[in-house]
Parts: sequence; structure tokens; C-alpha cells
Amino acid sequence: MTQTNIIELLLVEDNPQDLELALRALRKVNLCNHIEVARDGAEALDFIFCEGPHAGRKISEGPKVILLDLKLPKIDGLEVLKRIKGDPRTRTIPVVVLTSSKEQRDIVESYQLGVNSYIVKPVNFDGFTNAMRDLGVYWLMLNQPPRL
Amino acid sequence: MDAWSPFFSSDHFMPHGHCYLWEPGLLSLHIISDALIAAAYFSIPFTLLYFIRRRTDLVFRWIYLCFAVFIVACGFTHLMEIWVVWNPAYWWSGGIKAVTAAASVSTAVMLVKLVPDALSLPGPALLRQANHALAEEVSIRMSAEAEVRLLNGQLAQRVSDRVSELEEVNRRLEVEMAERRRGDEARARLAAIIESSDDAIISKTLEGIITSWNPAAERIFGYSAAESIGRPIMMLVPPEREDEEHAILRRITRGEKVEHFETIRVAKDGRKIEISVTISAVRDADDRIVGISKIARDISARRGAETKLRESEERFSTVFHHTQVAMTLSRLSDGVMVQANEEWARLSGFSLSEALGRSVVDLGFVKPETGEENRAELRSSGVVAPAESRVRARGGEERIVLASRKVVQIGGEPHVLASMHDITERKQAEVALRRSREEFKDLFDNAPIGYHEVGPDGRLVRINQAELKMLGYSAGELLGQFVWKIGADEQLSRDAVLGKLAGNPPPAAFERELRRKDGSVFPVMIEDRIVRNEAGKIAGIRAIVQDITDRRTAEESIHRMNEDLERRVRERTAQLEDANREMEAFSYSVSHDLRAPLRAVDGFSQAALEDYGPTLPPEGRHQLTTIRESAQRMGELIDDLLAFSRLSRQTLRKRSVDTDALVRTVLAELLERTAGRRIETKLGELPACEGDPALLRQAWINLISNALKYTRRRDVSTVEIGCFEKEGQDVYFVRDNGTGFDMRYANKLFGVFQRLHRAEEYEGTGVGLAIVHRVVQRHGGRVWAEAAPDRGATFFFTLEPETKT
Repeated sequence: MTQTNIIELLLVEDNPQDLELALRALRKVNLCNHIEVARDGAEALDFIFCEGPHAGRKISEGPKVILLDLKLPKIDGLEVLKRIKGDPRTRTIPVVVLTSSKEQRDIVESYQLGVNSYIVKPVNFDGFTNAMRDLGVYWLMLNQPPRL
Repeated sequence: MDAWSPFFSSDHFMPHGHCYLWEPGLLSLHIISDALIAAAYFSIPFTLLYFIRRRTDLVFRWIYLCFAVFIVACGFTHLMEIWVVWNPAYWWSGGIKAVTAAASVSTAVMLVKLVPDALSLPGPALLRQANHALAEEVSIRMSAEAEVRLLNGQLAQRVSDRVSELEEVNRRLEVEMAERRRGDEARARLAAIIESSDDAIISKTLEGIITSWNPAAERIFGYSAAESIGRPIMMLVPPEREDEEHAILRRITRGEKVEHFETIRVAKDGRKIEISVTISAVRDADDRIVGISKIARDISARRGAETKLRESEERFSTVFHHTQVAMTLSRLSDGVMVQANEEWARLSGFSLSEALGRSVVDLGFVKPETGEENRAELRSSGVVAPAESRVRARGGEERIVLASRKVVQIGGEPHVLASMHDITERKQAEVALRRSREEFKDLFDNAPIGYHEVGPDGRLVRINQAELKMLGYSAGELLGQFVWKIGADEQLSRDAVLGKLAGNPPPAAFERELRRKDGSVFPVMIEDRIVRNEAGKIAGIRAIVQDITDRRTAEESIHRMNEDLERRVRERTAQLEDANREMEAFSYSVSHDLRAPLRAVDGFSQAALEDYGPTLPPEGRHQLTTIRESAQRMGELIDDLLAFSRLSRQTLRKRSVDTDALVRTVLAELLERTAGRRIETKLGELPACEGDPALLRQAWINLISNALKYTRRRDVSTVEIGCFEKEGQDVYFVRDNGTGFDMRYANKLFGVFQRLHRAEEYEGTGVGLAIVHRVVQRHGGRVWAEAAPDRGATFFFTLEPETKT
């Protein structure tokens, strides 16, 4: 069914340890295929809006879900979220904020910008694994996005 | 004219001759007869006239005239009968007949009336008969006269004899009369006395039958003489006194004398009359007692007068004793008081019994010198005009009275009538009023606040020293001047004052600038009041004037200080905001950056365990596990620390909180995690409070979860949650039967990361109670605990400041 070149999940994470653990967790729940990783906000936006190195992509072939850290170099997560949700072409892509921040400020702003889910990364790896599995299963398998 | 024409016209009728058919015989018969009748009728009046002329003594002359008229008229009717034979003037003939009818009917009627008078007239035969009888009598009389003359001569002799006889008798009678007259005069005098006496004089027989009754008796007893004489005297005696009357009769009969006495008798109308009686015997020439005379005087009237006198005296006595004026009556000679009234007794404090018979000086009521002065003046002028004087009451208390004295004659002896009004209270009131006025004047002049009054025209009528001093004027310079003269802005002051005097705007407190005499201007606070006269019309303005220069200076200074303070507050706020922002940035990075490495530590330890676990010795696996536990614990510490720091920064959103519902929800959530434990919970009444629901929820979570945590080793955990009131405050509490703690460490209880138990015994970071403490503190309340080791602990908190005073 799925084409191999279609990216199902965009993981935006600058922390290499967190990235590795996230990938490990996703691998454990068999969700590591079709993952694109962006290491900062600019990379993430290039990918999403098919610019720079990703100019050959089509926006309509966007990922099924974007896992977005908030604290990012260059362009931060909230700005990325704002751009995604501010553009009609990308607005329907589910965005899950995955961050260490429990700050109410961040949570409220994310939701105001239209985030679909907000998950605090637990320190406990088991909890982290469970969270990744749950959201992978939910967004990639259960959730039915609109057809573009 | 036309109406009369039938009288004169003869056109419509035929001449009467036609009736006779113009037969000459018949015609002649009528004409001749009528002519003769007419001639005869016309002649009769002349005859009658002649007769009347000659007979002057004729009575009823007018009836002859009537006849004459009647007959003449008849004559004319007959002439007309001849005329109409040829000329048909029947109206004329009828008219003349009507006149004749009237004259004849009148005459006939008058004649009928005349008949009775005419009948009484003597006829000439009758007169002749009478004359004859008279002549006869004259002759008889003349013979009798001669006889009388003869008899008269004899009579004169007899008369003169008789006269001398009578003269003799008269002389004897005169002598007798003179004697008699003397006796009658005495009797008449007596009778007059009896008649005119005011006393009833009654005489009676020894049997008690009334024999005489004078007018006074009639007046007193009501019976007339006719009604009384011949009747028994007992009719005057009331039944109960009959014996008395009998006794009198007996005594008189025995010849005893009855002294004058008073008794009661009954009048005709049943009225009882008090009388004074004198009784004496009536004796005849032989000195025998033949009757009784009684003189009775009505003394009811005297008694009435006595009663009236007594009543009058009583009235005056009542007035004297009950008048609101204190009065005394004392002898002028020695000053001894003979009478005093109750008001005087009240005023002086002396009882009348102890005061009467002594003088006011003796009593100490009046000072001796005053008493002497008074008496001297009374002796000289008879009166002491009303004047204030001081008197000393019984207890020594001095009273002020308005007293007047006057000499009056009583029983021929001069007495002093003194009257006194107690005016002590009035005098005291006067003194108080004077003092109050002085106080007011003192206050007015010396008060540190200016005061002035303005008349209805806006001119100053009074101004106090303080205001004058404020303005630098003397009173003379300002009184009578328009008040706006002292205003810095005269026009403004003038308009305001005149406006207020016209009734608009209402009085108020306001600030204004005044100008001193030296021209300097200073601020004042004026509070004015409108003065109204009895009719309610505006009569002026009273104003309090306060120099507010100092206040202005102070205000300006305060204003400057305030501005400075505000500036400093702004600066400080900015600093705090900066600090807060830094703090936020700090906690944000703590939140974000500190947790990432921990996650890595934990995550890679886990990865190592997963990937290489089987090849690691048990010791290595234990170490990795310990690394993970430490990392996780540090994560918890960071989370709690962030939560605690958030609590301080977070703004407080107060609203009404249903504590009971909140606690029940929290308790239910927490109990879900304690499956398998026996926990008894007891919820008391939990009143609602004002607070931030989120923060309070956190506090309750921490307290209740603590209670559940530290009772976990009990077979049965009991958690009691309630509230009581203490000093007007609601005190909430959570009590458990858990491990408790030593009160010596209670001071550490609410510190951040402070723990009283080892981590192996009870997990935790030591932030829970610090959060509770911070929440309560942010609400202005207080939290404390009571506990003993192994005896449970109770946490109390309030949400309002301790004392509101």
C-alpha cells in the first residue's frame, strides 16, 4: 500500500541523545520506517514546505504526523508550529509537540496555535518508550487524516 | 258717531202713528191724554216747591225734591209719547223712560225707608191733647206750692231746736274722742311695730290656738294671717319637737319664764327654718295669764352667711397654702411669723409647726441685718419692692428669691405679708448662660480658626481675632466692609457671596485664596452656613475660615513624595519583572535542558541493560539500575522544584471555592491509588472559602496524600478532614493516625526539600508541604502542625490573615 518514498513521520529534534532514544523507542514499536528527522526548525520548515534540499518534494505528500520539539536552534518549535498551522496547505497535518517543557505557557501557546497533541517527555525511558509507541499507533494507524 | 246714529236716525222705524193706523179718533185720544198728563205732571213740582218754601219746619224736605224729579220725568215720558207718533225716535223715548224709572224706583225705595220715621211724627191732634194735660198739672202745682210755704215755716223752728240739741251731743263726743285718741295712738304705735317688725310676732291662747299673726310671720312661715289665726300653733312645729312646744306651754302656764332659745320650725312649704324664739306670757288687767306671745327670728340667713364666710375663708386658705409663691405673714412689731404656706415650707425646708411663732431671722432664714433693713423700710413706706435676696434654707443651702413685702392690717395690728419666688434655678441658668456666652466669646475670639458673619447685603457684621490676625486687618478696618474685599479675586468672591445670599448655590466647604492687608495671598478652606431669620429668609452667611497654607505645603510635599514613591515603585517593579523574567528563563531552561541529560542517562542505561544485560555481570546490571533510579529521582526533584517555583510566580485567581466538593473529589482520586488498604475517612463540615481553586486543590492533594502515605503502615488508616472556627476564622485540618513526627523538628516541616523521614521509609522529595505552605501563605493564611512520633499528625491551615484589625 504505502510507497517507500512517502514520509509518514517527521521527527524534529535537536538533542542527539533524545533523537537516538526516540528512534530507539520508535524502532521498538516498529515505527522506524518512513521517518524523516530534522535537527532544527529551519530544516523542518524546508522539509515541510519543500524548499532547499527538499525542493523536489510535493507539499501534498506531507508526513502523516510531525513530532516537534519546542526548544530548537535557529527557528524554535512554536514558530514552526505557527507556520504549519498558518498555511492552508499544511494546516491539516497533525502536529504533536514532544518536549521536556511542562511550562503552562508553552502548553497554552501550542494549543492556541493549533497543536493536535502535547506530550511531555518523561525522564523515565520506559515511560518515554510507551509514549512514543502510543502516539505512533494513534497517529499513524488509528487516526484518519483528511485526503488532500 | 255711527254708534249714536240710531238714537237720532228715524230711518229704520216707523212712526208710532202707524200702530194707531193713523185713525184720527184713536190718535186724538192718545195725544190729548198724554198732553194733559204732561201738563199736570209739570205743574206738581211747582206746587211742591212752594210748599217747601213756606213750611220751614217741614221734615224730610229731600223726599219732596225726589217727588218733584220723579214727576217731571214722568211728564217728559208723556211728551215723548206724543212726539213718537210722527217721529220714530224710540231710543230717545226709551232713554227718557229709563231716567224716569230710575227716579221713580229711587223715590219709592226712599219712601219705604222713611215710613217708620214718618209714623213717629206726632200729628197735630195728638199735640193738642198733650197741651191740655200740661195746663191742668200747672194749676195743681201752684196750689201745692202754697201749702209747702206754710209747712216750711214750721220746719225751720224744729230744725233750730234739733241743731242746738246736736251741738250739745257733739261737745260731749269731742271730749270723749280726745280721751279715746290717746289710747288708740299707743295701740297704733304698737301695731305699727308689730306690722313692720322683721321678727314674726305671734300670739296664741294657752291652748295653743293662734290669735294674731304679723306680716313677718307670714314672710317667715309662708302662711297668711287668715290661714293661721284660729289654727293650732302645732302646725309650725316639726313632729320631733312637739314635746318642746308642749313643755313651753306648760312652763308659761305655770308662770315660769322661758328664756330666749333657738329651735327649728316648719314653713308652709315644708322647709325647715332655724329660728330664735322669745316667749312671754300675756296677762289681762287682773294679771291673769290669758295667752302667750312669741317672737321668732329667722336665723337661717345668719347661718348661711356664717357658712359662706367659712367657705370663703377656706378658699383663701387653700389659695394661700397651694399657691406657687412662697408666702409668710408675720407681725411687724416683733417679726414673729403667724402664718406661712406650704411653698414657703418647701423653699425654706422648715416645717410650718417649727416655723410658726418664730421670726425668719430666728430661724436663720433671713440674715439679721436684712431683716432689720426690711422692717425699717416697711415701717417707713409700708412696702418693700420686689428685689432679689438670698435666704438660707434649713440645711444651710442658700437659695435666691425674688421677694416683695407689704404691710397689711389684720385684726387692727400691722402685719407683714411677704411673698417669695424661688429663682435659684433661673439664676443658675443665667450664670450658666453668661458663662456659656463668655466661653463662646472666648472661643470666638481665640479659636485658631477664622470666623466671620456676613449680613444680607454682603457686609461683614462680625469677624474674630483669628481671622483678623490671618488677614492683618483690625476689626474696625473690616466691619461694615463688603466681605469680598478680602478675596484674592474680588469678582469671584463677590459673585459667590451674592449668589449664596440669593439662595444659590447651597453652602459648602470650598477652597479659596484671600488677600491680606499687605497684599499677600494665601489659601484658605471656607465652610459656610446660610443664616435665616424667623421667617426663613436668608439673613446672612456665617463662615469658618481656615488658613491652609501649611496644609497646602504638606500636600505638595506629599504629592512630591508620592511621585517619588511611584517612580521608585515603577523602577522596583521593572527590576522585579526583570528578575521574574530571568527566573522564568532559568526555570524554563531547567525544565527543558536539565531533564534532557537525565533522560539520556536513564534512557541509555536502559538501552545498555536491554542490549547488553545478558552479558553483564549482576553487579553491572545493579549499577545500571541504580543509575537509572538516581536519574529518575533527579527528574522528580526537578519537576517538584519547578512546580514549587511556578507556584510563587503564578498569579492568584481568587474566587469562591466549594471546599467540600473539592476535598471529596481529591480524596476520591487519591483513594483510587490505595487499593487493598483499609482506610477510614471522616469528613466534617467544610465551609466554602475564597481562594485560587487550582492552588487549593494542590494543597489539599498534598495534605491528604501525605496523610495516606504516612498511615500506610497502620492496619486501619484513619484520615479525618474537617474545619472549626477559631477567633472568627475557619481552620481546616487533616488528621491522621500515622507515623507522626517529633515536634522538635516541626520548624523544618514546611521547608523545601526538608524531610523528617528517610527516603527508604517514605518516598518523596520534601516539596509537598513546602507547596502547601506557599499556597496558604499566598492566600494570606497560616499553616501549622501538631504531632507526636507514632501518634499521628494533624495539619491545620487558615486562608485569611490572622487578625483583620
